Amino acid sequence: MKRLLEWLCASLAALALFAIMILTLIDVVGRKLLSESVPGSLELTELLMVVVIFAGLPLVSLAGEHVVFDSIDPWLSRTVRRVQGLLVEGACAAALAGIAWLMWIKGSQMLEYGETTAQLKLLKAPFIYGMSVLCGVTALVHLLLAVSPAAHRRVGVDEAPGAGA
Amino acid sequence: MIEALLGFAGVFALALLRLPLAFAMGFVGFIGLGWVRGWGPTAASAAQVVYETGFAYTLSVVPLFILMGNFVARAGLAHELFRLAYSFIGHVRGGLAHATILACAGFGAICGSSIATAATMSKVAYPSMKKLGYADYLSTGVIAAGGTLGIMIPPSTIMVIYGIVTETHIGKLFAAGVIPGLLCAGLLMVGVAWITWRDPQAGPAGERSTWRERLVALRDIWGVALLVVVVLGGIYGGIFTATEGAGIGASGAFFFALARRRLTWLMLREVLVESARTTAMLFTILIAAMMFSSFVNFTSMPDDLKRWITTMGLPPLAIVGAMMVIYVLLGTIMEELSMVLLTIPVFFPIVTQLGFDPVWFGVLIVLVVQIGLISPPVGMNLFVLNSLLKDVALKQIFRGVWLFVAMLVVALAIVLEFQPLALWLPSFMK
Repeated sequence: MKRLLEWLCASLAALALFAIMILTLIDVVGRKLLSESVPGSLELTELLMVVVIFAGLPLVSLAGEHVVFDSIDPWLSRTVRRVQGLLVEGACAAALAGIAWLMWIKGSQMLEYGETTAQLKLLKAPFIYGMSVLCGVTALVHLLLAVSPAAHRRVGVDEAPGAGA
Repeated sequence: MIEALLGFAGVFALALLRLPLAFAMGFVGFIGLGWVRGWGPTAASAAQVVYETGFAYTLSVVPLFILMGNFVARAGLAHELFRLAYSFIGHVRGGLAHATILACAGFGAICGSSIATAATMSKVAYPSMKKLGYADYLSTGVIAAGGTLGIMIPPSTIMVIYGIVTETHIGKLFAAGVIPGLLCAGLLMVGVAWITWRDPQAGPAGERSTWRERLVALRDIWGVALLVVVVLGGIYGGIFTATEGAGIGASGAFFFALARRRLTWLMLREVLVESARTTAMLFTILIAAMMFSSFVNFTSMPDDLKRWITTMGLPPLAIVGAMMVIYVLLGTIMEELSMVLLTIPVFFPIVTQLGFDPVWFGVLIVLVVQIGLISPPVGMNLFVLNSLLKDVALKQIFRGVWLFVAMLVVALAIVLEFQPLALWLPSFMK
């Protein structure tokens, strides 16, 4: 189940990112050289960005790649760290569940108003629902980590990191 | 004022309890905003922030530049850059260390991440230095410090994020980073010269290369050099936006890796997923920081501080200098991106109020991030090297890096005093 989820999210995020790259290339080349742009390319990029970010989110949590201040870890006993982990993962799960709930409401509102993108007239609501679902999935990931901290790998620095800074 | 101070204290407390920084900022931002504005509007604005940050065309610049760097890293370009730099400078004392810095600077022109630059260079430069008998403290220090050139020499993830949150022109920020980036590289090389002058055993000279070898080494990198010229030249020349440039850069790097037959399906997938993960991680921090700053902006703190500073009547440059001291000190213990995002809502309005150019302040921010990344006890670059080079003790890495920290502080002081170093190049842009 966990493996399937990981595979699914990774594939979604990878495909969306590759699509953004190619879309931007075709759009720019088309516009500069042939003065013809891809219709709705901006909107498509926006929709794809949502997929990249929110399908990537469960993966970040699963890999324990969120930035944490862990310098005092060595001074804490194992029991303390176990309890701490439980609380921290629980809090993360609660926060993400909250966001999932808020986004679900937002999605319902947008569906009600029938809000679409400007050019291609794509319904936005399914994407907002998607954000909500993926935040919910990430909340579940944190619950999983709370129960079995072994699933938690150390900050992903040992595997060719491309991290922010 | 009190609410905001409590908010900052709350973020630090939660972070100390090991809550991920993004969640700490988000929590405090949400609760704080709920406190001062009421829960209904706060819930709506939280959903709006998440929605708007997700659906933002201009923000696609972030994953695209990350992707470009990751493709080029996998294409094995770092080897060629290192060989090129070595062929020109390897024969002087500490030549390999000098070459490492130059190769980092070159790599920084494609890669916008300090950590990725240091990680890539550790695989290329460290074995060569080890073979020639370089002292570990010198080789690791120089790789950690050289890696930070990745974020000063454009493109730069930190500059992109600073540009997004402060609405500063990203192209101008990129242009502004060029001269300070070269200044940093130069000062780091002075550091290498100093170390090898004091301790010649630490970095013996290598063999002199012939001009033929140098030309061959040059030929190996022209493809990527062209890509850099097209992407950055296009952005500077106003031919395309930063986002479009990033798309061209990522595609170019993809085809480059493809042409060099370095790309398998599996690896392509890996690069894409890795870049998406980094993107998701950055956006979590970004969204949380936006919630936090909308809380801080709703309190009286930014105005209070502005008024307080105006009544103090200090010279403006001294105030920015004091901010830099705070940053350098905070940077020794804090993760740098969160440090910047946390403080921007307070510092940025003051800086613009004092009449300083946001582009120049952006360059200073990048410099303090560079310093923070390599200053013990908490410096990401040092930890990355420690985990990649298993047989070098963290103590050795710490020992070697201090002089380079000092050199970057000198660079910070120079750019603080001479603003045109940052602002001259962007002044040619529309």
